[in-house]
Amino acid sequence: MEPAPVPAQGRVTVVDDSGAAFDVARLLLRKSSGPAEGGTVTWELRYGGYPVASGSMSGDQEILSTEIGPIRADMDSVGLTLTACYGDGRTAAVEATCVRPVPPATRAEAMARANWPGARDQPGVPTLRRPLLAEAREIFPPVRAAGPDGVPRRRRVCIYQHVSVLLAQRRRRLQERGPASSRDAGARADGPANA
Amino acid sequence: MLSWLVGAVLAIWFLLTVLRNIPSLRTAFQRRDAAQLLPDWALFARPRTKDMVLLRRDVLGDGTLTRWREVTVAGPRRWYNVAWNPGLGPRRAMLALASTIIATAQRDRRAGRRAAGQGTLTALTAMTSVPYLTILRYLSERSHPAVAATQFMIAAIEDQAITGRHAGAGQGHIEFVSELHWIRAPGGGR
Repeated sequence: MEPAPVPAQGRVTVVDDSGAAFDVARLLLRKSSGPAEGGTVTWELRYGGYPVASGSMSGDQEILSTEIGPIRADMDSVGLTLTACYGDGRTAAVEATCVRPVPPATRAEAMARANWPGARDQPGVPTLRRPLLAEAREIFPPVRAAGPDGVPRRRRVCIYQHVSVLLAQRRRRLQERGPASSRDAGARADGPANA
Repeated sequence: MLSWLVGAVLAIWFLLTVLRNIPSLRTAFQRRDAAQLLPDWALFARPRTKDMVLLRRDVLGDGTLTRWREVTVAGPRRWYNVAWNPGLGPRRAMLALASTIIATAQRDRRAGRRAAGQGTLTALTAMTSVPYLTILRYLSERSHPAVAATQFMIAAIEDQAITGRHAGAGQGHIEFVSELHWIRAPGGGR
């Protein structure tokens, strides 16, 4: 049995309106092919691959405007994507624009985005921290600098363990050291661990 | 006779308190002061001139890294906060955690520890410290289901308490940047 075709994801043009009179985000969908191409289009809006809203446009409908409640102000516009396909699985060409009310960037946000915009490429895993490492994977930084071939450059980054694993590791280490050191370590920050 | 004895005890207590607050002796006294009798005397500490701001950014499930976003630990200040201020506790807790992380980072920088990571040089060293884990847990539990991993930053912004979060004036700088961490436990929970 062949796997079902996965519709391509398209970026959503997001307009962050800091002076908006409305308080719920609005999604505007427009068929690029026009009303001539028939068939109902099913669309799904995703945030980082996680579905947040879905709906459909009938065959004769060229434009759809709808309110999207699940889009919150703390969601980053770079993570919003849209998939749209016809009933037979063909990808539908749909232009998506989302207008949402968001507060303007704070001073701290502007400073952080300017001084630390992307992610450092980490081709190798730091040797001393391998026990705390969960995964090394490729990501898409928000600053999508194109590589020599014109394709957006990805970064390989190290992702460390969940807080519960780190906590278990800390407890284990303190037990190994003994009760006296565990009392000290509770009051002050740690030195190098698992080095 | 009794008054002399009380006076001597108080004098010794005062002397130990002074010694305990000398930075180079602090750790040694802390270790021996099991009954926590010696106070951390901060009355003459240099006043804080910058506001500590917590920011985060996430790696989403599809691999997208978001931009830095300020984390609101407590709501905006209101006129009735003079008498009733429920947000003060979380705000002060964040300040205390941020101060400890920054102090650790500065100490490690002075010690010349270097480790290649995604965050600032001391992020790897601080990874299993209580303040680091506390902030990481707080952020992990406030994450959207689409978030796979998170990273936090502590920034110092001048005069923010006076001029507001959105004013253009005043400068800021990055004090600490953590590593990226999974926000889901190995079993699948948060």
